Amino acid sequence: MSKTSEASNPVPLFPHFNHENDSAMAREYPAIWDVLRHDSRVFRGDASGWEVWYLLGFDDQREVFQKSEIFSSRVVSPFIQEKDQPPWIPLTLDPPEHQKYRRLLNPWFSEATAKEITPRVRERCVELIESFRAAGRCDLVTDFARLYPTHIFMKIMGLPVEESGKFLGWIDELMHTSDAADPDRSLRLRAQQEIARYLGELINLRRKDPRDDLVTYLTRATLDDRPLTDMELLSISFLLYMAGLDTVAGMLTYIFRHLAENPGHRAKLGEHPESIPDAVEEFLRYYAIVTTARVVARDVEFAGCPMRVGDRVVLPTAASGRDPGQLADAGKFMIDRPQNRHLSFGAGPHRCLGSHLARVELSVAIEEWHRRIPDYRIEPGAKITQHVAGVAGLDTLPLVWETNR
Amino acid sequence: MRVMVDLARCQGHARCRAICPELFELDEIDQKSHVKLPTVPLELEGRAKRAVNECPESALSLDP
Repeated sequence: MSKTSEASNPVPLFPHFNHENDSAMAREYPAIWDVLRHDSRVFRGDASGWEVWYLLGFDDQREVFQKSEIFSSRVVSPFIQEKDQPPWIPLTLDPPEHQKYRRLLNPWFSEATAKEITPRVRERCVELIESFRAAGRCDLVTDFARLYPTHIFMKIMGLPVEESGKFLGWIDELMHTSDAADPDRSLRLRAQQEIARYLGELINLRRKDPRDDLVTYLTRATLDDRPLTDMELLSISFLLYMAGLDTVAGMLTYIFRHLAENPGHRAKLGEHPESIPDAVEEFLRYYAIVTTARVVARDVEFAGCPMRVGDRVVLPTAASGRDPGQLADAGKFMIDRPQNRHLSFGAGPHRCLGSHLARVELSVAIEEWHRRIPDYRIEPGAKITQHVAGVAGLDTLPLVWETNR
Repeated sequence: MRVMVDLARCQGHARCRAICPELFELDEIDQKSHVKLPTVPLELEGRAKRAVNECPESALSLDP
């Protein structure tokens, strides 16, 4: 792959580059961003009909996240037309509209709330680990990563746990069916409709039979002195599960692959669980899974780029986390790094709502796993592939361990 | 040494609180960080500096 420069535009062009389906990206994510950064902290792509600016530096990304009046979230994907961006409330809203919805959700995902539900998170984590511990093997993706955050999410929302099998099936179909298996997206559309119907029924049920859960709370919430519409309730619910499930699952896959391949790190975290939170920050930084985007709302000269209204800006958080200008040895994983800094949960008004819960889920998983399964490795001969569009994650991670107790 | 929070920039990441809970608390309503002590005790200076450096929003500053 090579970039070229044009006399009229000094920002290097990476012809036809689309990070969502680039094969080198899929093989070598996230370290690939170090290579792409090699001669420029910015480059542009021309894979679509408009300018796409890739910003790799920490400070540039931070500013884009913070300056929502210049960089709008009304489109958060770089390659779709504006009219094709589904409304995901409140992600695709800008301030001040954004805050009206965000403030309703904040208390449910505050740091205090995350602490409060930690025992339930732990319970679910242990339940899952115990379900496969005696077998001496599991696929971390299907047996743990996809189930663990989902159950917690369903409890917060108030989705009946007895129905979880059905619900998980639809989510799996919607989020993990490949284009090859579903070329016209009809399978995924049907799953989406099932989920919408199911959530719609639940919303109606909770209007009549209120519980102490987020769906009930949202049916009673007011915004500008009016209740939320069913459309808004659905949109919020969709966003929450899209934002909360694949993300934690993806991080778990990178964390456990890393620990399967680094016995020294396993031992350290197992013997010193108090070091787990700092290690989680380093995992979040080094294996940052989210690449998001914004649309330029105002002509602006930014990071040496002449940006015009309608251009897209891509923010690969794996790149900003490895910015050599921010941290010493930014390209190295250091489990006891004394000072961290990353944008893996974004910044600005759209700072990840679930960041506190995510940190709890990841810390608890590491702690409880190593209490029960301190030593494990990747199944010999396993072919590990990953998906990188939007939210990255491994497709499979078969782990094996001794079972002599 | 004093540490200040720029409330316009603070978005409630809570890294400061995680690094130095003696110095920072989060407002229940707006989730933003507030400094609990008027000056930073000597034994907390190291962690105060770390908190300032780690804030993703660059919302914290030290004086001096």
